Amino acid sequence: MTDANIPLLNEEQPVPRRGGLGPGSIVLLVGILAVVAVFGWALVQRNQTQPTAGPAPDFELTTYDGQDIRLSDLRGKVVVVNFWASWCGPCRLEAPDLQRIHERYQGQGVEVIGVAYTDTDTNALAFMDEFGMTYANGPDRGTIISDRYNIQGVPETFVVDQDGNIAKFIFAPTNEADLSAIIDDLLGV
Amino acid sequence: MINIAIGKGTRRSIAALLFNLLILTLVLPMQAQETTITDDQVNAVAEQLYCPVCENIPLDVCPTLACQEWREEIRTQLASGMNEQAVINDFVQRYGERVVGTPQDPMLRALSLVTPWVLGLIAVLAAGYVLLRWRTGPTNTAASTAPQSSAKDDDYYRSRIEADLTARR
Repeated sequence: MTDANIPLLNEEQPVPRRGGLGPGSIVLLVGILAVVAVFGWALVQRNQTQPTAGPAPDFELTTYDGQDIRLSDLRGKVVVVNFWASWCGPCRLEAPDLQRIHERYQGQGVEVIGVAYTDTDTNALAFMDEFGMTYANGPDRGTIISDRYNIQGVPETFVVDQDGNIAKFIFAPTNEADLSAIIDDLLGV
Repeated sequence: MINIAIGKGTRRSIAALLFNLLILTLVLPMQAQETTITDDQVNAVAEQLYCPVCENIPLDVCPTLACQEWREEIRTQLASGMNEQAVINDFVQRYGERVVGTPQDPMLRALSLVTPWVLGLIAVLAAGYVLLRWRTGPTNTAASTAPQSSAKDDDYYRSRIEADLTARR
């Protein structure tokens, strides 16, 4: 008992949805992409490590006694760049050795530069006085230098060769024997 | 009326005494200010700054020696008459924007500053879009897609059913 002519449905049928993304989906997608970009970039930055070879990042440092130093001006010399802080325990261990290196190689084409990381001037100067540090030392204003070298803490030391390339990165307190071996090698002694 | 004869020397002594009192009045509060910077005042600034060597630890609760030294630096600066914002600005200038929790990397800084606004804009747009759809009325809802029956159809079916039932009897 069926009748094919019986109108079971209205003639007006729902309009099928067109393909593609709606405005809501697009803004949601943009939001997700923005969040992913932030976290992705942060992850990339976090995974950056200290340079261990290649050109040493250039920097300018104004020392505590007002001397302006630019790393690139020291081409032709071996440069020991040491990051330290007065609140850093291991820095106390290596400070006398760095001073001895400075005294030992003074006038032989070797420069030792100390960069005080997030230190107060008063404490940094007291530290320098305590260990009799006479080589160039200055504060890392705005932590610009430590950012360029991606340091993870202190102490960290970079030895830069005569061509301005990083010859050695030392991720620990250093000592006179190790440093002199590296420097002698670079000087060809 | 009492006339008191005051000699030149006495007047000079009184003037000197008044001058000294004036100086004391000006100097004493300054000294008091220097010596009465409380831990709460220091921490009010420190809680807006972050440890230089540890990650995401506010300075006021950080136990490291570096943080202790920074807190003392804050105390010294407050005692010297700097206000909270001036102390924070000085720290940013000396130690970089990381001390206030802002990323150092320019790209990351830009993204972290822009992203909340982008997300807010997205939320507003999405809300507006939903509201607009809601106000214009449903177009593809289940109710609208369900087959509608008319009175004419009902009469037709009723008459057919009754006819069938009559035939069965």
